[in-house]
Amino acid sequence: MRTLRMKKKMEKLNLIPIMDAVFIFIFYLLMSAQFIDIYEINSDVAKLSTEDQVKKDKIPLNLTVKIYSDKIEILTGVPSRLYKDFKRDATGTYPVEALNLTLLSLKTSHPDEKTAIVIPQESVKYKDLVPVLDNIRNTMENNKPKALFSSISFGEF
Amino acid sequence: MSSALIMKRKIRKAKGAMDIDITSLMDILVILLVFLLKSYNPSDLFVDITKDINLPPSHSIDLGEHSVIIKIDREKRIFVDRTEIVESVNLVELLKSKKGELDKYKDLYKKAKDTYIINLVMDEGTEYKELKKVMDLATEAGFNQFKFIVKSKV
Repeated sequence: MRTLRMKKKMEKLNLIPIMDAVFIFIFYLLMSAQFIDIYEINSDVAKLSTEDQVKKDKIPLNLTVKIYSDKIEILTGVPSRLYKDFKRDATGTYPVEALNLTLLSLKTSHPDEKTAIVIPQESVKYKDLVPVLDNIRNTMENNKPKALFSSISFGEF
Repeated sequence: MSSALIMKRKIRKAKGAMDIDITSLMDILVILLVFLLKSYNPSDLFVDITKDINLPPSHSIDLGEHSVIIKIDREKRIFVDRTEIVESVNLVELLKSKKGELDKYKDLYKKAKDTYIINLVMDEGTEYKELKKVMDLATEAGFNQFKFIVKSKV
């Protein structure tokens, strides 16, 4: 019996339809492939609130981040008062980790707040602005981004 | 013709079509498929990045969407999509016409018309005053959202 089975020629799978599907899939993926990973940072044009009335029992955070060429200032409240400032270090980078930790504590005390107004000085470079925006928008929690003040508007000095 | 040659031909005919081993081809295709799946981008935003633009790295993972693209390169030249802008007045006029094109695109894909996005593709050395100038002019043309295009840090 066993010898009979062994003698039977093994049937081959018909791979042609699979191959066709795979080829079509490859062309589709080739067309939509992007070999540089590009993403976006969102920002709105500053606009007046259209809500009827801001809840009066809560004091608005009014978070403002001023970016100077040598330091970053965090201002809160109405009228704005200096909450904390961070000097640029000797290597020329802004202490974004410390900024992130401060914003995290502000977010913990004001969980409903989502907006931050960013006011950079005219001489601030885009490459310095992006890490600051990153750290205002998100914090890393277990290697996953967690939203802090994700709605960013630009203001003027 | 020799009888040996005739015999060989008869044997070949009797064998039928030759089987090609496609296992190695399948292996290559599967590897290619995995690689392409990893680089697949579901976003409808396509950006031509020239050598004069070095995007800053970011932790952001938000995908972009199709809209008007303004580029500022290392030499501070401003482009709207692929048109170079020489004067600010031209930028506002061009953006207004692009807004009209965007309306048609939004009608076609049934998208909401409350937001008009500008995708900003800028070299990392660009100063904020350049960015501010472009943002002010775009706001004047009726755009109300700006998306900074960055590259992945990972």
